[in-house]
Amino acid sequence: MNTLDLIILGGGPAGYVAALRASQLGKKVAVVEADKLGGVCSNWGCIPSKTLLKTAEFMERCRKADAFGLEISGLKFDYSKVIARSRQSANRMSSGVEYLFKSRGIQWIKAKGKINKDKKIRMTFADGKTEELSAPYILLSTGCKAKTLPFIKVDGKMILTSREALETTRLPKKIIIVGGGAIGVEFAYFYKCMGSEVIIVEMASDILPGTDSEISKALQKSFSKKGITIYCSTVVEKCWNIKEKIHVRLKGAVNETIESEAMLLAIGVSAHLEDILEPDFELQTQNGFIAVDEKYQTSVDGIFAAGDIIGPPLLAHAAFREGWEAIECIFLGKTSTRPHFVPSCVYCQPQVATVGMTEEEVKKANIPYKVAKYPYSANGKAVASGEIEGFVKLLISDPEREILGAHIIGEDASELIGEFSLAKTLESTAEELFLAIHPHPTLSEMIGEVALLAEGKGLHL
Amino acid sequence: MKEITMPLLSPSMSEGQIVRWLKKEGDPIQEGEVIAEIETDKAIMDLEAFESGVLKKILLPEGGRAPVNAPIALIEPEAEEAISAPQVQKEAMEGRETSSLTKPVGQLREVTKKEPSQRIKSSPLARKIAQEEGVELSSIQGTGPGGRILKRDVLSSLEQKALEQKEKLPIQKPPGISAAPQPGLSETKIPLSMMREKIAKRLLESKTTIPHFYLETEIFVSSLSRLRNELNLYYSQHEQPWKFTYNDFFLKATVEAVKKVPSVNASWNIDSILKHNIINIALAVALEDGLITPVIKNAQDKSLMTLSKEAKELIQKAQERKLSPEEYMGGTITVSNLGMYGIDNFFAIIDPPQAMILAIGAVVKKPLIDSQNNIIVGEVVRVTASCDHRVIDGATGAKFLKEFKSLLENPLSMLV
Repeated sequence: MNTLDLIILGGGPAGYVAALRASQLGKKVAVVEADKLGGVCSNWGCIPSKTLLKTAEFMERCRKADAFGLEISGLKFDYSKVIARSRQSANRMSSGVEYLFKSRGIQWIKAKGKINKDKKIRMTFADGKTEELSAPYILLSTGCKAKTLPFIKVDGKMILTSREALETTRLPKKIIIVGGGAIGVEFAYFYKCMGSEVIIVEMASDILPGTDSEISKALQKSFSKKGITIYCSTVVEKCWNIKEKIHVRLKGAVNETIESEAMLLAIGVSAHLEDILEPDFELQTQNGFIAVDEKYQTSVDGIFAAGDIIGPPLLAHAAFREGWEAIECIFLGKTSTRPHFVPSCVYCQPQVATVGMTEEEVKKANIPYKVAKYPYSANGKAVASGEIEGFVKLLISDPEREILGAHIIGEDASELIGEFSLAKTLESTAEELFLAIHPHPTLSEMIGEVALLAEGKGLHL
Repeated sequence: MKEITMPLLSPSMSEGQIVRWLKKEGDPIQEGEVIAEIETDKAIMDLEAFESGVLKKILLPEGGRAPVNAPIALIEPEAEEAISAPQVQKEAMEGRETSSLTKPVGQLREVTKKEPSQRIKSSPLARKIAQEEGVELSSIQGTGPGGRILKRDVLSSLEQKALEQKEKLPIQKPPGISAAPQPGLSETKIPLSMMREKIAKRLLESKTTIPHFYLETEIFVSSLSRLRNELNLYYSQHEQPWKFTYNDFFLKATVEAVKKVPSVNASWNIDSILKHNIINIALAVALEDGLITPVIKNAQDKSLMTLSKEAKELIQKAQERKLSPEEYMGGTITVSNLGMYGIDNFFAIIDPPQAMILAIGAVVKKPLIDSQNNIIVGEVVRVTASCDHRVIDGATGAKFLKEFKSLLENPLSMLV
């Protein structure tokens, strides 16, 4: 215990990958994590929410059974079982990390950790006991927590954040979702499929702000068709409870008071900062996140940080890489440019998956470009599957044909986007996207087709 | 068996010198491990192994120089080893016989010249840009996995070519008057370090191609001296103690004076003058066998404390020869201080493409005559600005120096 090389504070994606990589390099590592291993991703984010969304998708498909010549009647569900399955997935992923730790000899200290000015970690255990721990290197990877509104208290019954929504076994008949980002739209889709009335309130002019606007407009249209109400350019000004109802006063494009039995806050996340720093210890921050240099070192020597706590992209797969890179910086003396060209996926139906620059960003950067859009409706596999909604959009530079950005909305978009990431990493151009033979019939053919189209040689369109 | 070649460690580097091999022939090496120290024209940098394996052969001994891309060692990647060990050993032995320690670099290059049929690893995007720009891939050093040429490599090669074009002034080699051995004298010949050669070339070029003129002034620094003492007293009891040097104030005064007379913060660009929108202060730092000018970037946004801290860090790094290229490039004005050597006054040579360098002497006590005609003890420092007349005229330079003087004589004014 006293010959540790590294202490990691936080066992989420950045922290546990860092621990695994450090153990590969033969380092003695301890991870201080009071909650379960795997972080928000395994326990309260990616995994349990995708489990719920699969149920929703299943339901939606069953409702379309008729179009496939099937008859399904008496479709019912038990919501507590739906939630239970989601918890099972979460537990399974989390215990997977636990198993990996055990097999690699990584020490998990189940305690709350705080760092002080002597660079020591003070650990508080569940029974109130405390203990101090130190090592030559410390990695902070305590991630983020959901933001809340100053005038509403999250009670886990009527007012929820994603964490409570993943746990409560009560399905609201009506829900107001504040925030139309990835988390907001995923829950909107889920609740809508489960039969709730859903209203999304989004401050920006479109849902999924920051996404290529053609894509977010397409999703908005699709959601409206499903019967989800979307109020963009609108904020929650005030809200209050009357008995079992929440009253929400809106301001902006929509100025009215709406009521509902539940409200989900999906307005973003903020860094878990004050909970991990003793009052005598300060770290330089940037926009509310820990500032790090190109070696993931914070403003204090020997203290490093990785994952959501160092700021966007706030995505598990970015954190995985940052954790890995931080260890290579610490123990192998590498430097990093931080992950770039990081894909981002939204798992409602139709799915949204994007990587690289949006068309708006390309225009703003003044890069000469070509753009092409290939619709799912022109793809054989999509037609066979009855999933013809959506398109693949590709932006390439002119004349080099460098891949600038790829944006997909439609069936299995999240499984398709990886090819663009690989192509970009290998510095492939639109030409190689086409030259690589895609199996027929698959959705992946759209990738070759959209590349051809961007070069003005479109075949199947 | 794979070649390790002389890497391109800074944009201006054309050749490198091996300072030290950290691995011996036959040593196993890990990917990412530092295997040698290489001196470029500016700094000593680490050479990391691209892949794991065994260092089979050192082609360039310590002290030897080779151009960028020339092979300097042979490495046997991990996977190959087991299969062809005897063969390799033989090759290595033969290699040892043919390469005597003093083998000239030129020959070396010849021996290991890439065969034309050899595949050059490159990304499709890099190939397209290279084709577009008419650059030979074989002339580019790849920095991707396994030496693969990436977009950034093509772009930096283009940049370097543009730079070289610019640098192609009539002088090819520093000519100078060479000292022929004279009878009765005894000499020791010291081979030129990369840094010495660069200093010779650059400063000869500066002094012979830039029309220098000099402005000199004496600055009364009694108030500055008091302010510095007060600040240092205060900060000595601070929880993070700090000590300001006179030079910190000279840096701050330079920044503030440039803000008032921004036209001195500029460069001659043959057909135009480039006015810099940010202030990057270069500090001349003496080294055992040369000097280097680390740069405080964006000094216009920095407080006295930040300037002081950055200067201290950069000077230390410079003395340890640990500066990265980023840390010594891009200066827009230089401050050179020889006060600590007791020099009263000197004239510095401009570091191109900058247009001004300030030469600062020692703070000394002197009898002065005050407004009541009393002789008092005052503290003064002499400062000389060397200016590029193509960019800065006498009056502009004088205006700058006047601001500089006024700031230092009323030192509180530069802190607000």
